[in-house]
Amino acid sequence: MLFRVMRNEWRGLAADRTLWAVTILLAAVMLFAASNGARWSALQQARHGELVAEESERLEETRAELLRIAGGGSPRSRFNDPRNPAQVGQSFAAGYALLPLAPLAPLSVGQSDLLPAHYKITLESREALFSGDELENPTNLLAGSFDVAFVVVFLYPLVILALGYNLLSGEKESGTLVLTLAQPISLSRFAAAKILAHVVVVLGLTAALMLAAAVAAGVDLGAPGAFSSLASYFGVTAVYGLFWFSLALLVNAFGRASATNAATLAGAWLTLALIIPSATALIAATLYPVPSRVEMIQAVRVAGREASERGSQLFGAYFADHPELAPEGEVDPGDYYSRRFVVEDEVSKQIAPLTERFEAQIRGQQSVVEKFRYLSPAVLAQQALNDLSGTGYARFDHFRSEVGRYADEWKAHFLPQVFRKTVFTAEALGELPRFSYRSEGAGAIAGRVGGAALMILLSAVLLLGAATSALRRYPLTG
Amino acid sequence: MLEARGLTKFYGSLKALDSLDLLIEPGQVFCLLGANGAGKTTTINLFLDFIEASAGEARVHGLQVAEHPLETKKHLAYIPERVMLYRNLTGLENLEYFTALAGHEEYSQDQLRGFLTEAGLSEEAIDRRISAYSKGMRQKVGIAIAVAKKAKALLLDEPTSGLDPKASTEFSELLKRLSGEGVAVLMATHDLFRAKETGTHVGIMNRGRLVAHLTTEEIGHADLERLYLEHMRG
Repeated sequence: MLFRVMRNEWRGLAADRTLWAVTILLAAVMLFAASNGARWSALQQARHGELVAEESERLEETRAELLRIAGGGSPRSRFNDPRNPAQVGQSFAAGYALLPLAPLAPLSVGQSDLLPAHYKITLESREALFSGDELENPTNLLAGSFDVAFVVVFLYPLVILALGYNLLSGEKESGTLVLTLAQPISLSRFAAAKILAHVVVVLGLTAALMLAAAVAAGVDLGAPGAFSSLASYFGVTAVYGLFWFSLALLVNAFGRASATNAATLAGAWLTLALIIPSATALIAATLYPVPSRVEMIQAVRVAGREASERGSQLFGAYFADHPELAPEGEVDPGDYYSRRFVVEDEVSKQIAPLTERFEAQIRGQQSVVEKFRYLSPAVLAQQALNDLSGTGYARFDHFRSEVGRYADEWKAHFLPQVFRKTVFTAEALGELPRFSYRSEGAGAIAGRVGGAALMILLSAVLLLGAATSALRRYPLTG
Repeated sequence: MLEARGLTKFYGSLKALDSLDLLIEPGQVFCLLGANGAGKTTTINLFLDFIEASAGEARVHGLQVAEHPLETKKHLAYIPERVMLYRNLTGLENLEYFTALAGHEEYSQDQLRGFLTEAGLSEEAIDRRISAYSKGMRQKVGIAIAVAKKAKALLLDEPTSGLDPKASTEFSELLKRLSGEGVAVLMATHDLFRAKETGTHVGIMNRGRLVAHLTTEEIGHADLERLYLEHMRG
């Protein structure tokens, strides 16, 4: 009986132009989104390739230059001398820390157009290294690029609603509902069969289009983890779809007119997909205003001037803090490079309270975003899709901490040499610490994605429960 | 077969049906007469469990409708005033679908076509989409659906309104045949002539109350009309 109703619904959908129009439209936007994603990924991939090539070329040149000088040549100038470890750490051998693209990167641009996927590691302070970073802005997070994730989060719900806004109201208005319910089938079973028919059609269509989009975007499905990621990507999409199906059913269960249902559902879409994310950003910024950047820059300048004036007095305190960096014997307080790093360290210490306040506010904003995202399945879905594509905020955050760790390692490698005025050699060039990204682990990603999917599923179940109870009071007549 | 006991329905403070007592035995054709808003459709909707009774009970085949909504519907066939079908499907496809919902998957295509021609639908119309059907043609598909269900009771809500005289006569003959087979029929109608012709019993309703109840044998057509108008005035 259930299958009979489903088959009838399919016949109805097939005879209706809406389904075909929607299919063509969805296929077109999906492929367009795939080509956008592919272009962006290729651009990033190319950029990474350039950086790697530039770095190895630079290292080769440095090695040749070191060998030339060792063979009796003289350096090009005092400020262009690869024997000076400070110059090597700062420019000659400065390495890139790259965040590799995940297999599904072409499907979600995510944060990758806002947050850097590479840093050049020098002996600069952390403030200088990360000064370009901004927090996750949910508006940007949502209304980002026209990628597959955008199609899933924004357009796919509209497809579900366009096909389902009159699920029951249409039958009530055309008069077929009474004839149906004169047969031994309950309204809730009838509605369940109809919505199930929609679920099969829409999810089947989406699965096929998503696979096509992945192939078109150049996702290598043979890469380790790629296929399971794509399966999870579809899983999140399916669960997110269930939410909208449930909502369509609930709205229909009140027995209002099709036009009312359409308006109600459009309003719900607007609220959940657009208004809540924007409001979240606004609330976060209002509750946790970030201190102005101008104030920050000003503080750095003042601290820098003061530290420079105190100059040589700083050395004692510096080596008390960093005994591991202290060279044997005396440090030359007149040495430009030694002085520079000690002053920089002092500046960092001076502005630490301000940096801390800045970071605390950003953490506060993050916590607001973190809490409010549960109000909108669109935000949850977007974050889960980004996570699966390796373009989520969490992965960039993890990358940043890895980069920070590496930058410390880099400094710890060079600073003793700077203070000791070691002469840098071609052999030493082969012993530099290099960055390799350690991913945060599949468990962490699965935990976040699973958590988000579970929350969406839970809200879908709640809506279904409400729909079931509303269907019991469905006004069949009048 | 169809029984109402003190069946009452309020819409807010409006009493749409006032303690109706009614018993329709197998083979009886009960014609419910009355003006619009007299409670005829409310009665039918209560038997179908489309609305909830405020008091009293409706029974089909001895089962209380409110308690066994699905079981009782197996015994009921229903033809509304305007039979509305799936416009994108043909007459045959509509019949096949509704018959399957009713639990009859066993019919062959030929048998299904038979039901439609029997109901008066022309051969060439059977495979056309409903969107091209007139009201009368849809009504005939509705009749075929009701007949194919092989129900023990038939609920008709002004089924002949909009049918041409020939179709209307054919419909009366069909009703006679079904009642001969032991089907209990409850028909709401405005058509006094048809009620006298096909009905075994006649009831007149006014403002939710059954004000007269008689067998058609007891009364001539002219008398029925006089009685009807009397009650309408009262």
